[in-house]
Amino acid sequence: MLETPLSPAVFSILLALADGEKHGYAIMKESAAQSPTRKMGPGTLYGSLDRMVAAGLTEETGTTDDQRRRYYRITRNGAAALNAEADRLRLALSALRRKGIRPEVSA
Amino acid sequence: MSPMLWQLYDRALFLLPPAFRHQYSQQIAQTARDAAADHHSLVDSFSLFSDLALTTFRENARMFSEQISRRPFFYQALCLSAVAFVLALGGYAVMQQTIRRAANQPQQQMADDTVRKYMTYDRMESSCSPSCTDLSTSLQPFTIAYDENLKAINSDAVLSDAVPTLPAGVFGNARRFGSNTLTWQPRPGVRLAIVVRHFTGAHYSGFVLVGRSLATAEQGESIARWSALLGWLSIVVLLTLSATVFSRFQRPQQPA
Repeated sequence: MLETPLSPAVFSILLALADGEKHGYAIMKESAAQSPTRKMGPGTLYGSLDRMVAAGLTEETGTTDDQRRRYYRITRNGAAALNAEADRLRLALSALRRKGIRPEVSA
Repeated sequence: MSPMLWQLYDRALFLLPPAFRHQYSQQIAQTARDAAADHHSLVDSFSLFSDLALTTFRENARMFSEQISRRPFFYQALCLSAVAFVLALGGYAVMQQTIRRAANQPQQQMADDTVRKYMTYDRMESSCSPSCTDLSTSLQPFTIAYDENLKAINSDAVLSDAVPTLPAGVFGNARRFGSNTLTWQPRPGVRLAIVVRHFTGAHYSGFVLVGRSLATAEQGESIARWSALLGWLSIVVLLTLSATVFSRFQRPQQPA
């Protein structure tokens, strides 16, 4: 099982897969859109995916496209982990707001 | 990226651990090409290679750590063997130095005595009585005196029917520091532990060399070397056997 809080790579992969199955580059592209300052390379992506598949957070769909790209989807455990992380972040954001730090950030 | 860099990238994928490479190398290469081909390219060649280098290190470390957790006794045995090797090497080094330093006796005492004697001599007498020591075969200590011009003026030893001469640098050090203790090999197969002292007497001044064959000491060193090696090999065999026995009784690791 992966530790919580989730690492930035695991969190952004789960977030990328939250709205449907994707292949490696699509995940990478969405991760880059989520956090442009923290780009993930292909090696890091597949290393993280390997651990996430082993931890039961994601799984291969078994489908490939004409370029033989493999597709991945989020599992029920992965969705639970993403929700738990989202709750943790929400609480952290509330605490920040209460202290008047970064008040311009909206939920 | 140029075709040559892609070729290099594909070859660098072979540095990944076999299981991970088999599972993901094609996908990594495909994703890297997708990224490079994208109009809004997410990666440049430097970040692709640095990412691959980091992944290679991380995945190999992970594989190594998994192997250790799967067979802990063998890795413990390997670590203990390495420690035993260092201890055996250290033990041998101590024994070798002890034996070698002991081989400098009685030459140091004899050199002091001879220097005291020569400082009062007004005439050198041949010491080869009844015959000279043959340095190639004898284990006896021997004495040679040289004048300041490094010419032998007295000797009770010969090598191939001649008094051997030392390199001039040895005398230079003996003159500068008063004494010089070293191993001398006048010819292959003849190794001597020698002490060279500088002296200044009423009628003679020069150098006294007292030496002795290292053959006995080298036998002792050889015994110490073999003892250390056999001791270490015995420990390795015992550790390997123990690791094999313990591994048989080890419970399978529960998945986390």
